[in-house]
Amino acid sequence: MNEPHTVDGPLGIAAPLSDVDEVELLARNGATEFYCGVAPAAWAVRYGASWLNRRARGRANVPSVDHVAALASAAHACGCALRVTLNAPFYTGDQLGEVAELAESLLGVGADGLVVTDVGLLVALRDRGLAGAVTLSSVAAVHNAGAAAFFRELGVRRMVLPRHVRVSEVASIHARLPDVALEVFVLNDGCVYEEGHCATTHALGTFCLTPWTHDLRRVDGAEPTEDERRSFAAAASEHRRWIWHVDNCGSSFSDQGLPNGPCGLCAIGALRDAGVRCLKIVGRESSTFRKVRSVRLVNSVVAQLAGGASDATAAAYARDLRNTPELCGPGYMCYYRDGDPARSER
Amino acid sequence: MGPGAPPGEGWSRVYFGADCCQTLLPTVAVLRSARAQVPSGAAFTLLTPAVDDAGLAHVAALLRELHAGDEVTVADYGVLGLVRERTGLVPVLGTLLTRMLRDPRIPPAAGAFPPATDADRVLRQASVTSPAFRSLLTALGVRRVELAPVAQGFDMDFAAMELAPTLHAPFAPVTGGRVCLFAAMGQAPEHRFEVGAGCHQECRRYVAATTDAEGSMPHARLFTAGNTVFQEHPRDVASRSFAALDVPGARLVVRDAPLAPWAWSTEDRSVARRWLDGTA
Repeated sequence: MNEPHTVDGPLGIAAPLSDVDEVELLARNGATEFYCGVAPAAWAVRYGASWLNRRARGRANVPSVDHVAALASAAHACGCALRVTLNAPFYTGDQLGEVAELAESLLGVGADGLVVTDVGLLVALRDRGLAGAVTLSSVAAVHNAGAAAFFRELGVRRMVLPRHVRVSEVASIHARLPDVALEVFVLNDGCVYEEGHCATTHALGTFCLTPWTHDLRRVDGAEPTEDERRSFAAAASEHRRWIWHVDNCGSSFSDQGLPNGPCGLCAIGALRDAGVRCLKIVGRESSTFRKVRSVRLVNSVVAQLAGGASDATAAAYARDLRNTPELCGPGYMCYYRDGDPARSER
Repeated sequence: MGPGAPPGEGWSRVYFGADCCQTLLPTVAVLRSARAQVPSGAAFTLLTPAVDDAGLAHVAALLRELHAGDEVTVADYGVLGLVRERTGLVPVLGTLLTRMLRDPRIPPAAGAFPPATDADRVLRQASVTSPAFRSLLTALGVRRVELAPVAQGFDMDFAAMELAPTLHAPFAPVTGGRVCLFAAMGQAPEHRFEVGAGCHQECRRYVAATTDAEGSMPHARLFTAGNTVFQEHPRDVASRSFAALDVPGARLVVRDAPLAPWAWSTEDRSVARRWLDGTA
């Protein structure tokens, strides 16, 4: 079975799961490991809007530990590991014991790891001898080697870096902490803000997708000039366009049936060179069709690199595969503009 | 420009810097100058943001300019590590790491009635209510944590937690990131909304009142300042929030604008009360 907490081996592809029926299909198309969410009814009844992880009940979360057991069993049958997200931005004192118990139950029924954000939960799991099972969630917002070292001290050996990170920053962290396995986002579901610095809850809707209107003011109290208003209006208009790209380009598919939206395909070579061990495909709540297409898309670029293609060749392959120059051109869909060989040559 | 005059008697600590964006870190020369402008007798706190590795090196240089006893508010565990390495500096867990929901869509506390359910109560609590987290903070030498006002109110016993709370008012950070609307005003098209792209600190000159075109948050006064959305709370919300922090060492920090580089604070409750009542 592919181990979820290793710094060695080929580049992995972590795919989201909602249902046992997806496991074999996704594994056959290139997924090397899986992650899922769980949202027991009892938690929802007790805590309402304070979710167990960053996604709602329903397709993004299976409803019980038993369902996780079934997913783990199916994943293992395909030689893949399964991790479970317990990555709310934080848990309160009231919640901590309950989450730690749940974590133990999940590992007890076959989950291979837990994706965790909250420092308190990390400490609690460490104290129970379970730190080795933890993957640090992107919601922990690790942007530097010092922060990574802090979590490594708590026993974490695998970390998902935040969405908003540069390839050069990934390389810098890896260079200082080579024994930490790094995972990064590669496809789908962007975030307008830094998730770890966001104090809103998706339980009340997606705050960052609110159709805002902005009224420009000068900090010195003077009236903005017409030029300033024009410049800001242009920036705000482009910002709305960028947000549309971040929001999966309106959840659209290309003419080739490929999922549009945040993408790091062109940067996979650079990410591998920077020390990344696993590529994360986002979208537990997505349709099975979107998941399969996403996994195939990522796997096809990984296969190019595994076959000896240079980073530039693999990036060109990825662009040709997508064939959406109108979306790729501005860079608004890119997770890693600095990892795209074509852009960095400009 | 220095800290300006305090709001009145009893304001005894100066805050300098911003905790939301790496590009707002001062140069070493600017920090040295700022530190020298702190009035005699006033204490000093440096606010620091989350940073990348280059920013971490810069923060290390900034910390060398500080004096023994100065506080450093951290939004990044890497920065916390640096502060702990400098003997004499006092680490404070910043608002971004003292995690709690500050969502403008959460309804206000219902009058004087205490929250009736666990679901209500957890909305009024932060990550520091977790005993496991607190034990780690204690081991790391963190004795003070920072908060911002929330309409739903606080339900935390800071005396029992043996932590001193600092409340920043009236602006509460709602959400923020590494991509900046204002920076795009001065960036080349190929670098707009690119993570880590440089900027001209447009946020020093502009702010935008931000409203929901569909009107789902009619009572929230929101501002986009740089890379962050802030909520400006009315004084009564800030007042209720501070009243819930009635423990020795509780501190109020006030500022005129979301990203004002300087702010004053007080630990004198009567002084704080006058500001919160609008009679300072």
